[in-house]
Amino acid sequence: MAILIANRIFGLVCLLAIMIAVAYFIRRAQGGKVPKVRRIPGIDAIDEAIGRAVEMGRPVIASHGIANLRDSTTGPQTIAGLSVLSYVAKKCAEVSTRLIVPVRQPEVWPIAADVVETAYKMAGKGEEFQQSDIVFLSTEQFGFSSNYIGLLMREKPGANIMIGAYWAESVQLAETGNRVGAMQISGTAQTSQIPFFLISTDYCLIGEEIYAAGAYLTNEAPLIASLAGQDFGRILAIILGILGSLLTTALTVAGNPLLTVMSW
Amino acid sequence: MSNILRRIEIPIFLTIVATLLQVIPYYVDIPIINDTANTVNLWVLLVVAWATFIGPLSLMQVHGKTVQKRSKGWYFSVVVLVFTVVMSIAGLPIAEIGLGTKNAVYTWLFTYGQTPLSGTMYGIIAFFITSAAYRSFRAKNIEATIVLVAGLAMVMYNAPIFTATWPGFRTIGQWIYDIPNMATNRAVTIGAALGAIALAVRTLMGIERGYLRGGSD
Amino acid sequence: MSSFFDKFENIDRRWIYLLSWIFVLFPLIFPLGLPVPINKESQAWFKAINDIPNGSVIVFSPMFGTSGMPELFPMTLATMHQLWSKNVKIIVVSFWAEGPLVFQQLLNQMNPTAAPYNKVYGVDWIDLGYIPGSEPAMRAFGEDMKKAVAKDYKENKNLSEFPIMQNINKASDVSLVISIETGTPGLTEWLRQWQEPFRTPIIVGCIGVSAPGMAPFLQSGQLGALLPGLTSSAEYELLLNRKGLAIAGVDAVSMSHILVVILVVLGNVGYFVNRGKKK
Repeated sequence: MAILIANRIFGLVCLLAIMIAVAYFIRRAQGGKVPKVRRIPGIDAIDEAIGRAVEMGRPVIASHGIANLRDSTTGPQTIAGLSVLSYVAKKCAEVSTRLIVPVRQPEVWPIAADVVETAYKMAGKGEEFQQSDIVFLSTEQFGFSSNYIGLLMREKPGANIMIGAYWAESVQLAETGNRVGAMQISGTAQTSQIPFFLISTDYCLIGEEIYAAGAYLTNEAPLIASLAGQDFGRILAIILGILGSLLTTALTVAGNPLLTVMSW
Repeated sequence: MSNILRRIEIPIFLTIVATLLQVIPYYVDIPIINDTANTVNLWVLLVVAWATFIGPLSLMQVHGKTVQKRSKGWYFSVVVLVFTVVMSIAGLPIAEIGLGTKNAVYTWLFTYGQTPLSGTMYGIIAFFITSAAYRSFRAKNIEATIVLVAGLAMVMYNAPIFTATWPGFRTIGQWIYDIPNMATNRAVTIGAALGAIALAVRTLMGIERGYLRGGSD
Repeated sequence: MSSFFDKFENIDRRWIYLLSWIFVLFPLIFPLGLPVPINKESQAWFKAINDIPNGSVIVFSPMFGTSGMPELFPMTLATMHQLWSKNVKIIVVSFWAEGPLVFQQLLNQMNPTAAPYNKVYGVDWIDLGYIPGSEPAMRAFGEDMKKAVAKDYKENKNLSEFPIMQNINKASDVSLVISIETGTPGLTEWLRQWQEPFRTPIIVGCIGVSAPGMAPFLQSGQLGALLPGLTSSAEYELLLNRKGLAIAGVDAVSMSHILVVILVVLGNVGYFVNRGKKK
């Protein structure tokens, strides 16, 4: 009886190779060898945005996207958004500036509240945490969006940080944030929304940069080293792409051994 | 005992088990793991269903306080609370007493309330996109000029009036759609997938904890 | 003269909103009849549905809510018209909570039991409603439909009572999936849970902004056809010779795009005039 499912063996091999590479670089970093990471301006700007809000005496609004944690494509984006939220909460607690967190998914609300509360407690400012600032707006996409727009217009935040999975409401939120004069840092792996964030916000993290954000912000060696594992995966994808194109051009699709291997 | 239950290793362990239960059945056919994964999926549905109550409770808490304190705009909060209660009751799945998604009140509010409101909010995007395009498509430097030219080309590609006037708009837009757009979308999709894999490995190794609590231990 | 042009660099956004409103509203009230050339996407969609063999079972999935209705409802109406005009069996199911409610709105406008369709519920089509759970629910439905859904949505009866479900229980029994969608769950979930494991063909109708992200799957052949946005819906209506909501709205699409081009050009004119003055 075959245990490995047909047509997925090559995918499994690639997945294991990338995971082993990530784990290898993490172990190497734990031994002291940390790779250098290029600057990501959007992530560096988070501190600047919070500082700006403090100077203006305005709150910070930070959202982690509108997706839940269960979907395979958007769940990781929500986790990445929560990682950034924990850093933003820590910074806001340190400088005693109000942090408002709009939430769309009821199942994410307790996690977001716990992340922020813990950050405040670890900064020694547990008494400043306001649960009512972790505000559930609506499960309906445009109910959430209209509520968020209202929040931006009323609170006029100094910084609006939106990192996670967004859909059509992205341009509404970004344009309103621009209108109220907030410094905006955005990031999403939703390819359809990246252009809107790019043109409407001050800084935009594109695609996998949001996954790197958590590692980058905490500056922990193992987390930073995992980014090198991603680069290994990228190199593997490039090699397969070039090899596939050359072989298909030379041999046609039917005679391409690489395609045969990839369909195992 | 409560100190043991508060240890962070417990949620990390649960996360690892749940992750492996979702990944392994996709590649390996072992009936006991498949059955366990399916059972866990059902538990997830139950947890999500119960978590649904958290949203309205938070809504009631926030808007209830606003009404109680007569804060600014408290009358809007009254509207939110009233319609939350009405839709919740009308939509209860008790067909025997006429409640549910086919209930007349529910259907009327959905058809004549929610549908036009949602459509309106979606339509507002047109205003925002127009102002965003006007503000952003400026030839300030090389990159901005490329954005400007490509953006305008795609605007004209998507409008029938332009492609009917001169088919060249269709040809140019189709080239941008088929070549640079395709390549970029593939690259971003692959990059995002790799980022998710790295996030998964960090989670499985227990070193990614941002979603568990703020900051590090 | 230059002070006239340099005002274009910073037009107050309220003027932009007013112009947008006029440019979109005017053709909706006074239809202009602007030309709509028919392109390959709508032709491929029409052909994909036209080529479904008689007697096939297809899954039709409205995966959008009320917010997506302005852009997707026209193609939903037109697609169901073409499907009900054929001799195919249709299973309607949604993995979006508002999907059944959207489909109900369709039924308020189209009666499949009356002429010219004359379809019998339970024999020619069935509505299974909403299955909660997103991607896991799609997998469960593809593996065992009767286990995933106990009763139908319209009459609340066991699926085994309906002739259409007699020999249908998994994704491999289905000839085609037609998904009209606006986000997640959507195409990538269908690909992972139906197309890849069961090789079920899939065609997708989507909002315009989603189309570039789906294009790679169309080019690789994983997606059979793609109908993006209101413009393609209008072309599809012309192919069906059934002008509807899409044709009524496509003039507004053209006019709004004309406004964007005008504003961008004016903005750049103002920018360069001001830049010249500063130098």
